[in-house]
Amino acid sequence: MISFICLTLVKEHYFSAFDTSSLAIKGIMIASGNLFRLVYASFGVLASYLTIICIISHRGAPSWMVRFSSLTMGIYVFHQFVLVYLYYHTGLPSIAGSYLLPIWGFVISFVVSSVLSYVIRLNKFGRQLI
Amino acid sequence: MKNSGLQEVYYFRVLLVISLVTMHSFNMFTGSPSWPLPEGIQPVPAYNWISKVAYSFMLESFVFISGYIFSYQLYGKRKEIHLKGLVKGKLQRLIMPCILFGVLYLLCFDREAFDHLPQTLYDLLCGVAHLWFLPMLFWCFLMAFFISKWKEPCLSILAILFFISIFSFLPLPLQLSNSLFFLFFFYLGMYCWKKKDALIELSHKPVVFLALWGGVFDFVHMSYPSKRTLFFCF
Repeated sequence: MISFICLTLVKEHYFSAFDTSSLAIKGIMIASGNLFRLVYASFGVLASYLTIICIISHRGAPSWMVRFSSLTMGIYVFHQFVLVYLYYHTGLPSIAGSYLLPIWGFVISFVVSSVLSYVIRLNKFGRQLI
Repeated sequence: MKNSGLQEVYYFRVLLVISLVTMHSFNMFTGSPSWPLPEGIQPVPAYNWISKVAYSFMLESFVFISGYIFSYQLYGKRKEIHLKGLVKGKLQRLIMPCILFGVLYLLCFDREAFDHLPQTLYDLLCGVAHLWFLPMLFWCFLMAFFISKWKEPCLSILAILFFISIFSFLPLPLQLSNSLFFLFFFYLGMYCWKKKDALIELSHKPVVFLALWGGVFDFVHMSYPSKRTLFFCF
């Protein structure tokens, strides 16, 4: 609650009050941004971690999740290839429209990158790579 | 089950990769120069918010679990890790995919980049597009290896790394600046693995959950575009 009030006040009043043309002020702004990101991200990481170990202590990870987690590096590598291709090199944006495009993008890139990752991991070199 | 001592990592990986794909799918609405709006697509402010929420602590969590696994190998399995072996292994697992898929990315989407070969070679080492994360993680492993030899108490090291992260905006080559920011989360992962038993006990206290997720709620509150755009964009 304290952080909620402080951060809202900072967001609304503190940052907008500074002249950003000075190099020193820019440095302070970036350092403050880093500090906020560190605090938020630490909260998020620890909250997620504690939630997950709480779930794990009651029931283990399902077997599909164990298998699927081996594809995550491949999904990380390939999903952006698929998204860039879909968004900027196909007619999908005009077919899907503004509201549905990211949803289609998510579904197609997730499925295609999972399949690519699975196929590449079928051989030893692929498993070493991703 | 393989690695049954690290079941939480499976949950983390799956959740984080869903966040990552969500973030990139909606990224065109954030005004990012690397993700311009495709032709005919109108801005949807609520989607900007979805992208920001998915991004909020996703990268930090990826680094956190890398540190967590590194700590498990170092202290849990008591694996003897030497600098030479670590560098060789991480070059193979992080830098080689970074270069190979970077070349593939440029061949697919930016062939003109090969006209400026020295700059492109440097860019490939830094990681093209989303692949910047891999060299950053490479440096995190290396720095964490040296830190693990240091006999300072973990909390003191965490405090030092927190301070370094705040001032990590100095322009250093090959993703070193980014790794100085993320090193705190890498070491936090290492620390959490060491304190896992205490943290499991802590995870059963509702007040801790409320405090931590309250902090996350703060972020959501700070990141949304405005009341009007969030609730009336449809």
